[in-house]
Amino acid sequence: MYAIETINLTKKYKNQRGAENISLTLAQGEILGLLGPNGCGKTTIMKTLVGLLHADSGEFRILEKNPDEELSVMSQVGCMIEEPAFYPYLTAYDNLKILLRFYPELSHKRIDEVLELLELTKYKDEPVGKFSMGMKQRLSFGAAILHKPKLLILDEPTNGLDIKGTAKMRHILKEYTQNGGTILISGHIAGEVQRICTKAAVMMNGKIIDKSSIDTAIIEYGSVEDYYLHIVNEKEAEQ
Amino acid sequence: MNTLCICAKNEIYKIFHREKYRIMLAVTLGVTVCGALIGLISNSVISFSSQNYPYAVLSLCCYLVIPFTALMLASDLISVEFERNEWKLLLTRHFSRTKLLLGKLAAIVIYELVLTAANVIAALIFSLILSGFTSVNIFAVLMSVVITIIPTAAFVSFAGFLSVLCKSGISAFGLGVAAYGGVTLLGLVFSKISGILFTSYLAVYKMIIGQDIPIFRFVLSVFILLGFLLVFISGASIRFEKREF
Repeated sequence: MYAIETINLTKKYKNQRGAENISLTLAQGEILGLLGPNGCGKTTIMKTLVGLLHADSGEFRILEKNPDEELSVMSQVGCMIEEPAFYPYLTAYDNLKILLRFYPELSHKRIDEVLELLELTKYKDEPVGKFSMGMKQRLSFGAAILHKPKLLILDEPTNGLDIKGTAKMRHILKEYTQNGGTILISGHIAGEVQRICTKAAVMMNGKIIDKSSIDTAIIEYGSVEDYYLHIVNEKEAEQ
Repeated sequence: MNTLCICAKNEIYKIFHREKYRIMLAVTLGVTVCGALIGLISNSVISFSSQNYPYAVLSLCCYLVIPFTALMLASDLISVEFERNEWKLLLTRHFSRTKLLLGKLAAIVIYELVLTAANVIAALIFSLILSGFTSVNIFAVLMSVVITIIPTAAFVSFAGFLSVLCKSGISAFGLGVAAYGGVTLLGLVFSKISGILFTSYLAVYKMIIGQDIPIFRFVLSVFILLGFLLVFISGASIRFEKREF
């Protein structure tokens, strides 16, 4: 069973940037890293998968279902897309409480669990408007995992985090997949992708130009960074 | 339906956590109380019948307080959240955008009802104290507040529709004020078309407080308001479903 399956998924903006003919599969339990420079289409794909953008063409399935037809599948998905966005006049606790109401099977204890996991317990009664970027990023991750989803879609999740925060998030993500979760993650830091992911896909100018497992990339090129640079340089030489 | 209730509950929670909307409630109540006290002063420049005071307050709510607070709330809950990308928090979940939007509009209607009811009941209490318990038809006053839900819902859907069109809170509020003013003026200048403008029915409660109730006209007015409500909600929903973030 595929957690994510896209077939020729295309979404282009007016300036012709975006993502074109994206076909990828992500099996359950895998962590796929989308690698590429800013503006290559990583966020566009993620936004299309979670419903923030409407695809121009192509199709995609999340957990074997088409979200346009079965929106309920999104209850199994958690995401972090671009900058964290919360209600600044509400506390961290209240922001998560607003989300938790949509999952009646979970009790309020889950909010405390998540805040403790992300080391935000002592800030839980502070308005989010007073949070630093790193704190908002952690809270955003908390909002993504609050309802224990089967699939996580994370856009540069370690952005703005300090070293300890990054290591903590890596640890949480590893544990998450060990418990059967699946993750689609994007980033432009190859080292992070190497540490977190099991597969990588290289993007350039809106297209996926290569895919590989992390183990194969390391065996053939020494590191994910070298793999990425080799693929990108080869592509640029072709053009 | 359950999701819609949760959406509305969340939005009401947000509204009452905003200091300005709590202050607004307090200020309008303060104005109502002051108005009653000013009316008590004999030889006052401003004086009015204490028996009609609840209806005077309700009229003020219908034409001024409800429209302006609805426009403000719609711009805060819809357009400002577009600006700040706060919509992302809920748009990626397992319920439709239309339910989210309806939840916001329902919450605004509930706030308006609380605001109106609080002011009218305060005015009613003053009337009863000043004029006696038999001088005011309490049931008629309370029914008038209940009936006012219909034009309130129609106006809120209008405010919501305009807010969905705008990308910023200021433009949504400005457009709303201009549109409300423009439509009202149109109805005043061209009285023949006022019958088809929803702003002509904001104080529809007036039809039920007299001795003779024009049932047919009242029912027609209610249907006109419901028609506008459906048109604005449909327009807002269609536009919002297509919006990209």
